[in-house]
Amino acid sequence: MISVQNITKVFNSQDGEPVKAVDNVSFEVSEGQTLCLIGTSGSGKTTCLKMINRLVEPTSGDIWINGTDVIHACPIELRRGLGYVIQKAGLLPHLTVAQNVGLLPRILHWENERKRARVDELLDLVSLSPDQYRDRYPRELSGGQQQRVGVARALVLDPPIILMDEPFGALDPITREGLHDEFLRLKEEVGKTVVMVTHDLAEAFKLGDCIALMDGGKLVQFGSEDDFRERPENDFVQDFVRSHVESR
Amino acid sequence: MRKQSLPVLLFLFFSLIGPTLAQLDLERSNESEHTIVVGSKLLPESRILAELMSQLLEAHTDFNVVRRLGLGGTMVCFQAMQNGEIDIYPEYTGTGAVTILELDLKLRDPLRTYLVVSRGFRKRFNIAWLEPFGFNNTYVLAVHKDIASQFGLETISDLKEVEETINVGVSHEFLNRADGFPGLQDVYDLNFANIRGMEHSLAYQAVASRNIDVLDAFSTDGELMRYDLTLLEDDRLLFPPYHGAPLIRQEVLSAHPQIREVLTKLAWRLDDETMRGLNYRVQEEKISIAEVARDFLQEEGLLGEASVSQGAEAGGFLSYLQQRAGKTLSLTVEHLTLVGLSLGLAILVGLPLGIFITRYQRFAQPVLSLSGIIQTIPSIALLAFFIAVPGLGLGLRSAVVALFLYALLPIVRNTYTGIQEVDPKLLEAARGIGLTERELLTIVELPLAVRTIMAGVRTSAVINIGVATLAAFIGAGGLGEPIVTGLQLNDPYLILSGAVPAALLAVVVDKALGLLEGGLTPGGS
Repeated sequence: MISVQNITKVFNSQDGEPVKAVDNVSFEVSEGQTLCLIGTSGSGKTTCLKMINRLVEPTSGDIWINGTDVIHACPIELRRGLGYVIQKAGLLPHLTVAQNVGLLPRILHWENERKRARVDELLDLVSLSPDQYRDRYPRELSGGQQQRVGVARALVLDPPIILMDEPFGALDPITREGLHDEFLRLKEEVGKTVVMVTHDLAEAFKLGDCIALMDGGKLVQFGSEDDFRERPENDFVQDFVRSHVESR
Repeated sequence: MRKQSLPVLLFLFFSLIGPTLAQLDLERSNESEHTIVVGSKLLPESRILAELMSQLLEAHTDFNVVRRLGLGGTMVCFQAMQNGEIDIYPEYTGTGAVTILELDLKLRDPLRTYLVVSRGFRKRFNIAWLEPFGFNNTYVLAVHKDIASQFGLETISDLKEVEETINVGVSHEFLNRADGFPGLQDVYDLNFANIRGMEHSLAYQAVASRNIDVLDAFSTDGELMRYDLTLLEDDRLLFPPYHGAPLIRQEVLSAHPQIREVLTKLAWRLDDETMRGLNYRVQEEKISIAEVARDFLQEEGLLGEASVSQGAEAGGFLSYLQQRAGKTLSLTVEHLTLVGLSLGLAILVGLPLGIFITRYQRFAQPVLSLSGIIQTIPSIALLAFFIAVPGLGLGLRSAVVALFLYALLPIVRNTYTGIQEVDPKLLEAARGIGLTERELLTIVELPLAVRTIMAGVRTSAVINIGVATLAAFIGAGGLGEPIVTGLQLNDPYLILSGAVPAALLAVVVDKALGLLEGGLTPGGS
């Protein structure tokens, strides 16, 4: 279980004024659930996500993962226990698909045999034929394929939790639809806890077990799809839901 | 002006720091024992004398005569001789006594001086002085001809009559040396009413325009010929004797006693005026030293039958290059050693330094500015600077350090830029999946920056191949040696025999590093 309690992040803006990017946000995600953090750009959702794996250090507040205090953990150990997928996958352009997926096993000195088996297994899992894709470089793949490799890389050490930062953001709608289905299938298969940042409410409704809507650094509403549709907290939520869902 | 003053400055520089010089990295001749190496200092007179001796030896013996002319100052030549790297070079008795033997004697008598240095060199260094050439290159006082005839001035003593009225302009060194102006007061009881110190090169013009009447000079200065000057006799022997004579390693002389016979042909043939004439032809008329020497020897009938010049005119440039192929190859190896060592050091230091300033950004500007400033220092000044540093001295080590500093900037800057240009999103992704800072560097940043870093290395290599040609000025050898000598001797073939291989080397090394870059660059980019 991930438990985020009263986290606040204050940045210094360019003119030196402190800005609260995240303002006293709390939420919890139970094991096996998918939480979608949603909001407009600048709402603080990505900062929230990055505080979970300490790419951003909170100014105040606490984060606990399965009873472990994240703020005081070793960041390297912490991150290796949390899969991380970002927009456009963030694959290293000078490494092949197999080398990208096998990066952490290489660093951890896995035996070649074990590493190779794991890479192939994961490529199969994300529906990329290992024989065909193993030795390709990222630039030889489509955006959707790169994203699959990114997911495979996040899963390689079999972490119980995956953090995803707009993983489907840069893809065309058809590819995105396909990957959504893939995601749900995968989730069924591997059963991870997922925290996903998105700006697409339809995506959040489709993939998320619960949704956290943020605006101006504050958590506006936390709940299920039904809560958002039937019991919007305020006018802002209602407008947000209406504009997103109806525009599609 | 620039071309002229450079060797002069270097010569002065070497003479000043001479005693602290370490060792000279001369290439050891690998020819048989029939090779005789003739050396000289940088100043033209020394080169002319060495060339005269070389041509005589070529005309009258079967030795393969190798010229190592223009080896900096006194201590460079002498050190080279002690190391057995040169066999013969021309030296001055006064220099031998004061600079090399470090004798404190007030030596006035020419013969006694010669005997003292002969004995001293034989005992301490096993080096022999052969018979002097004849001239005495010491201080003289020169007077405008009109003044001399007007007052009947022939000796320095005669100046006493006109000490109240005459205008004297002397170099600052002369003004202060014990055997200069103070000596004039002591020995000749001269008390000039109008005397001033001035830059030596300006004194000639000042006397020509009658701003001054008397100046000091060296007795074999070619410039003395250009102006109508009367030289006053040092009738009370104030100025120390500086007679030129060949120095030869005793070992060589014992093995080949005929050398003494050959070189003695020159003895006493070069009085002050003759030497002045030869200097004048080289310095003022810009005739090549080889030609001046050949003309002189022919006029004196010293060359005999077989007086065909070896050298540039013997065939075309290609056959000239062919003759020098072995030499050029060994110079190229020397050159590559210089460049390789300095470039290697620059990579060892520049790469970590470049990485360091990406981590500690506040050092980035200072470090880049400093290495930029180093690049703006003229190469020759940088090279010259390090020979004064204890432990570096003349030769390879100073050259490597100077070249290293030159190579630093492109490597540091490109390492810094290459790493800075890595997409921050990529770094965040890599950090996010749990790479340590060290792994980020070795797995992500360096591989992605390798192309930029290698571009810096290639720039440095090419710069260094160019600058290393100047290393010859400080005796570090390499392809600059024929260039520097060729410039001094006005010998285009000799210049090209260094310049062409150096240019080719730059192209080849750049290509080779390009291939290496291809090998180092990871796929996928």
